[in-house]
Amino acid sequence: MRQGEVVCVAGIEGNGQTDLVYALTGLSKIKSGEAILHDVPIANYMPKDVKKKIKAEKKIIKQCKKDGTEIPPSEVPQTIDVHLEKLSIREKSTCGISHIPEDRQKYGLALDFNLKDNLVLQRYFAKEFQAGGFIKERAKEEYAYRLIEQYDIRSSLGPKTTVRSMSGGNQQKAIIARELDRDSSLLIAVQPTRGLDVGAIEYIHKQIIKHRDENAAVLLVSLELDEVMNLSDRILVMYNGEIVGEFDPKKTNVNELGLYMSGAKRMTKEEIQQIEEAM
Amino acid sequence: MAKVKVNKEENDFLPENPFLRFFYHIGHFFHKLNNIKGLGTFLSGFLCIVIGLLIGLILLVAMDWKNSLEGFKILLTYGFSNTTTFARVLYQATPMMISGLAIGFAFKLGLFNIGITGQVTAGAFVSIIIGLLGMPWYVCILAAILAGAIIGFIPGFLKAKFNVNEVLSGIMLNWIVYYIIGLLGALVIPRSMKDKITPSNLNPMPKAACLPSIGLDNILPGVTLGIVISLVIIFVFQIILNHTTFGFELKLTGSNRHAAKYAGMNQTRNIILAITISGALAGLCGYMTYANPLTATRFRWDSGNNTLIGDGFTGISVSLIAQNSPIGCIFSSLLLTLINSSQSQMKLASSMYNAHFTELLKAVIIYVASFSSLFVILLRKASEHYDIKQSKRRAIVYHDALTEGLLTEETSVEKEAM
Repeated sequence: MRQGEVVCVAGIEGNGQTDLVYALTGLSKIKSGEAILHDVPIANYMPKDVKKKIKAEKKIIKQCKKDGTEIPPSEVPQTIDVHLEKLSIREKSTCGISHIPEDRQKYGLALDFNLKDNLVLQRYFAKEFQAGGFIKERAKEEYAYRLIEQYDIRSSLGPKTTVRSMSGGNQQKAIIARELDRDSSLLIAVQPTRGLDVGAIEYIHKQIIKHRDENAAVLLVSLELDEVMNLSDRILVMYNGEIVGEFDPKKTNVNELGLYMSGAKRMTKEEIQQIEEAM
Repeated sequence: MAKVKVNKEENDFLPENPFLRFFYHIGHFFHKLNNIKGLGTFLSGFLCIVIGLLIGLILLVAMDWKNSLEGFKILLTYGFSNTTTFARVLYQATPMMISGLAIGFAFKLGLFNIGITGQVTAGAFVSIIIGLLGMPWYVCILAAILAGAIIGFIPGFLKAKFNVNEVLSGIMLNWIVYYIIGLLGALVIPRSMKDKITPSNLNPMPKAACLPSIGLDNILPGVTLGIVISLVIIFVFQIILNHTTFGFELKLTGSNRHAAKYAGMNQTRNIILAITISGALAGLCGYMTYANPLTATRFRWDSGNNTLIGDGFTGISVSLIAQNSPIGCIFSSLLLTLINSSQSQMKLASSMYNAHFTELLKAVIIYVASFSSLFVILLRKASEHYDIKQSKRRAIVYHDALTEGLLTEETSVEKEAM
């Protein structure tokens, strides 16, 4: 996947899309294979060898200042490639992966908590929201007000609303607000518009496109073929846990996708690679 | 969203029918209450106690209606009648609030630390041995906390790594600790005494190992530094649970395990830490049960198995009545000891009331407390009902204002939280 593109994984439910997303985000363990996230700034994730290099460089700089010699240029890379299968879920969040889960009430929200707690679900330990372990309620509330304003989340009491009392559409908007506001480089959205009304669907589509335009990569998993055709720049079809086709939405139609989704047709690996290189 | 000024008064939102107006005010009251943080919890706990006491009153009336009010008065006020009894209420409540806190703290994570008895007994035993060896009280406290934490670590570790149910491992560990102390006790107590061990044969905790007094010995005999320690610890835990990231993680994991995993919280670490801390608190409770210098509590020794008896299960009742809130544990433990203290006095009101009545009353209150979530739901429903009625009424008034032309041209851009 590249930055600034929406890749959609289409397929009939139960063909492995959910498992793929769980594996990428860490909700399931990866048994084999690898997933690499490129160009992660070291401020977000610092593996041990980079830490050692930085320490060594600091020593060298100290030494140079004492001696008065020139400071050699830094050899520490500013961005690194990260192996996702070796990271924990929290590390993946801080590395810049956002996940809009399929089951918003099971994974995405803590229903008995209020809106401001849910809007910082993965960031409550960041410097803005806590100091020495103590939560900064004011900061959380201001952040929640900003997101409510920006993403039009309707709630009865503002940040203090219990999320359980909000409608499904607004709960989904809250999750989307939280995930999109995190400056992530990879957004994984699974069925983001399931069970929502037309207005909310329209709005969410706009937000996803806006996120892509801000140079993020979006992996969309959806069962709605209209959504797949409208939003994506590239379509992958999954059948039985394998990718059986790759398409350019401008050059294909719903019928062709349907054939591949039901397993009636499939492409070989070489064909898929050729199409990918062409796009 | 622009706010539109309407030239009508707030009272126009009230229904005209006075009967409905009364219910409106009740709904308004509950709505205001529900929004105050923590008051919903307090109210449901308070309701349980009131209902339990009412049922107790009905029982008193049923047994002997002539003396029932007298009996009820003794029940509730004997603990306050003189300073000695009040002191007893305080120093008996001191270890109870800590054991309630232990249970409530683990329960925030959804874990039922029923191994608390083993942790209390282990803490008590270790601190007694250290005390008999001549160490001062702060060393005994540390030893008790450590012993409780170690015993508490085991079910926590088993739950986190192997998903062993903490109730099963806790109960089994209770019995393991029970018999191990029996074995160890045999090493400590001289052979000649082994057959005749009754509480009066054993020495109480030496003075240096007991909690130091805070100068209240003349007014409130028996109240030591223990109550200060308990109150401080409870306030600290209240702050930890409500204002720190650790408390947030615990509550979230207890509320929705999946969302906690999604949020990246380290389940293993949190489970182990929560139960170990709970065990440490239980150990402290064990120490404080025996560490009172003025009322040398003889060690409650089970002469059948030559082992120490520790009581952790009262903590479960304390925590249940207190709705698992640390500050609530203070009040529920005081209530339980208050009822306990009137145990022997009830028969003064009537020969029908005996010591068993207080046990019955405590059981009734605990039973009603297990319905407490019902009260929380009822409160929430009353508040939501009010909320819906309010917004409907507002909509009607604004609509009328529109048609009557009462809306002014001025609009103010202001966010109004309804």
